[in-house]
Amino acid sequence: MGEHHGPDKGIKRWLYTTNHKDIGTLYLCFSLAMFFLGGILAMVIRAELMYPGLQVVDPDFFNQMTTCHGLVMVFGAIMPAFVGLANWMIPMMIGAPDMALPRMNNWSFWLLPVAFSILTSSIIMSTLGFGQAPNFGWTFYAPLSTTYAPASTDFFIVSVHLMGISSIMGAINVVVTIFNLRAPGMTLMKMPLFVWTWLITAFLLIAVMPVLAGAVTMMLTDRHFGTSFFDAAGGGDPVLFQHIFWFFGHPEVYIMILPSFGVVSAIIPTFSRKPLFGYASMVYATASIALLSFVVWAHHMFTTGLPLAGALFFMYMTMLISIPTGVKVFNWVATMWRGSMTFEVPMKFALAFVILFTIGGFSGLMLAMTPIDYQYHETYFVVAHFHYVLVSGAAFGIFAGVYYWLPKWTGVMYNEKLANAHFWCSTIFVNLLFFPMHFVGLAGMPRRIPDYSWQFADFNWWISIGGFGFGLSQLLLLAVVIQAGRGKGKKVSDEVWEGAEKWGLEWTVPSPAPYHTFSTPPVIK
Amino acid sequence: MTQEAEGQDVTENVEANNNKLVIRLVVICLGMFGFAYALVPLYEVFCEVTGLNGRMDLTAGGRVRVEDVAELDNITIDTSRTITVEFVADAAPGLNWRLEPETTRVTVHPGEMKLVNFYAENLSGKDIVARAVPSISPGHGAGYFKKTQCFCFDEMSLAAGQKEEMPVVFHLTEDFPKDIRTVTLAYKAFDITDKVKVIEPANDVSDSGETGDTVAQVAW
Ligand SMILES: [Cu+2]
Repeated sequence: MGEHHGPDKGIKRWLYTTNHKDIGTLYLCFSLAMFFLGGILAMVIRAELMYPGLQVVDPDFFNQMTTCHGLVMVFGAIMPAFVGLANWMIPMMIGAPDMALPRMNNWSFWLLPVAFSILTSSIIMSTLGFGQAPNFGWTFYAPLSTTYAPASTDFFIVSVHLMGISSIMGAINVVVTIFNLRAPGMTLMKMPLFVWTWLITAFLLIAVMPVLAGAVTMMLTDRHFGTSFFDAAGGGDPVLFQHIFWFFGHPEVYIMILPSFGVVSAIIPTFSRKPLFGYASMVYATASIALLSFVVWAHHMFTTGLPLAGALFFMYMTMLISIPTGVKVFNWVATMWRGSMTFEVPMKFALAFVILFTIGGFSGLMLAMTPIDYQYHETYFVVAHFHYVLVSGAAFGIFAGVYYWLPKWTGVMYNEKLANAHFWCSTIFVNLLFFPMHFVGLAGMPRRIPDYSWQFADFNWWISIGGFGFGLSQLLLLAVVIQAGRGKGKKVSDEVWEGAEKWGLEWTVPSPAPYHTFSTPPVIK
Repeated sequence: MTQEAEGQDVTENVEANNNKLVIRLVVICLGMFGFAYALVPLYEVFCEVTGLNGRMDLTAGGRVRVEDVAELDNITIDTSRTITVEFVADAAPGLNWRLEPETTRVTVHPGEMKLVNFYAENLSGKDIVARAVPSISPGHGAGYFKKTQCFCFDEMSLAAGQKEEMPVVFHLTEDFPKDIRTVTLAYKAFDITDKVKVIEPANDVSDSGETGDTVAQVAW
């Protein structure tokens, strides 16, 4: 019948696969590749900023580096990594045989390499000396991205459209899988929190990726078809672009953090050997964060001259988000309280996540205050803030998840020495890299500028050292993943982590997880 | 046998459910794409109501029609308050014009009509049509700054090297916000020659020797 066939051989397996585990692997590998590409761009930035003055690249190329670093990391590294984890884990967590729409799943992955080849081609062309890659910042504000943009902007627009379509298809797949393929007895309020956070993330994606598509379409018609959405000369308004962009942009930052909340909520109970504290409040907190994310966008635009009532509204709404976020942090800490904790690498990353993400949350609270934002706006303080939530937040959450589930995927324990080295190097260097940015930002160093005053020199030297260190540390991750991927390491049991069986269905299947799991639905107690 | 048939039934059911949900989600997506475009008119309305970005209403109330000027005579002048009005005007990059006010500041009482001249000169070697976009700062004063006459109401057309004097007649309403002591009216002029459709009159119709005259008509 071909029902229990194994995978095809060779390249065809990966091109034509509709298996959720294969596609999850593809997403994760793609994301790792983009993580290194974005990292290389960041290394160029830090090399230029190591000393004051201009040494390594010219200012225009520097702008292209900051722009592409942001785009590649956001759309190429973090988002696909989450989709990869979702593909691997959601069916196994809810007792489904696969994702609900397997062919669309294949398509939504394979759009990504196409999208990023287009974007990367403009970086390569620029490096070889032909034209410029996008150079207007990852937020691509008009008129920088319309009237004054390089020709490669059209590549960028097509590429954003493709990654948008890919994300939307991925999100639709997740929603349909969770709604229709849960095993009998797996009620919504029994779902693991990772599934919950991804369900909410998927709705955010479905709601805001089309808005991003609208924004780039308006840019395209402004550039080539005579419209004036963002052009004051034709009756448009560049500030309108910022409203549309951030209407997408703020939910987007939660798209990049909610799945990490889910990962951490899975890991902390396992290694505290206690059930998650306040499960229901976690679900409601996640949902309220998602809802609030639609009414805070103008906190990125305080300095554009909002009316006082508007500024106050967006300030209070933003501050309100710290309440559900605080609930989450409280619940994680309460889960650990009096637990019999052990500190395996996934737990170490989860703990670092809780602490460092909270630091990023606090600096976000500072930025939310309108009058204070006038000082912080467009400085390195902002850079420090969003890297704390995205690197030591989102990315650490992904690392934690990868270490947590890698033994289930491969059937072998990761190399613990290398993994521990990866954790300690990452954690030390990430703080050396981003913590001093708070101070140079408060002292007035503007972001996105390739040069700076002499008083910032010492701090920037240390920041660059932190940057290179963090970048190199990631080679350890690569080594760990390759070793485990080749099946080198101690064989693990089915439950992998002591007592994990009771925390999730994924620990009840054999290790490594067979090509097909839950072809017949499991019995849920 | 029965089990297999049942299994098939379940599969078909799941597929139908899936399709229904997919269609709903796709409709949400299309709706949100439309919403991005709906933000454009929403933003216009919002800005005009709040004066956000110092936008001025050039369509209805903000632009005082000549017919209404008689009514303006009834306005009482509030001499207890004196407001400084500053003027800024320049040409956007790509427009080789000189655009400047005759004076950079005047003082007025709310209700008092004032005339200020602006000068425009086409420094380039070709005929250019431009449009000046006004803006008021601070923004919440925009709704109380009324213009009776302004070169920004229409596009400006200057031949190569041509110079023009353009009056702006304005007043501040009596209920002008009390917290504003100084208000700035800024103009930015943009080249819209390319966006203006040029209609050539057909040769055989015209015997009046006006061939070659063009009628400029805004296409947007
Ligand atoms: Cu935000």
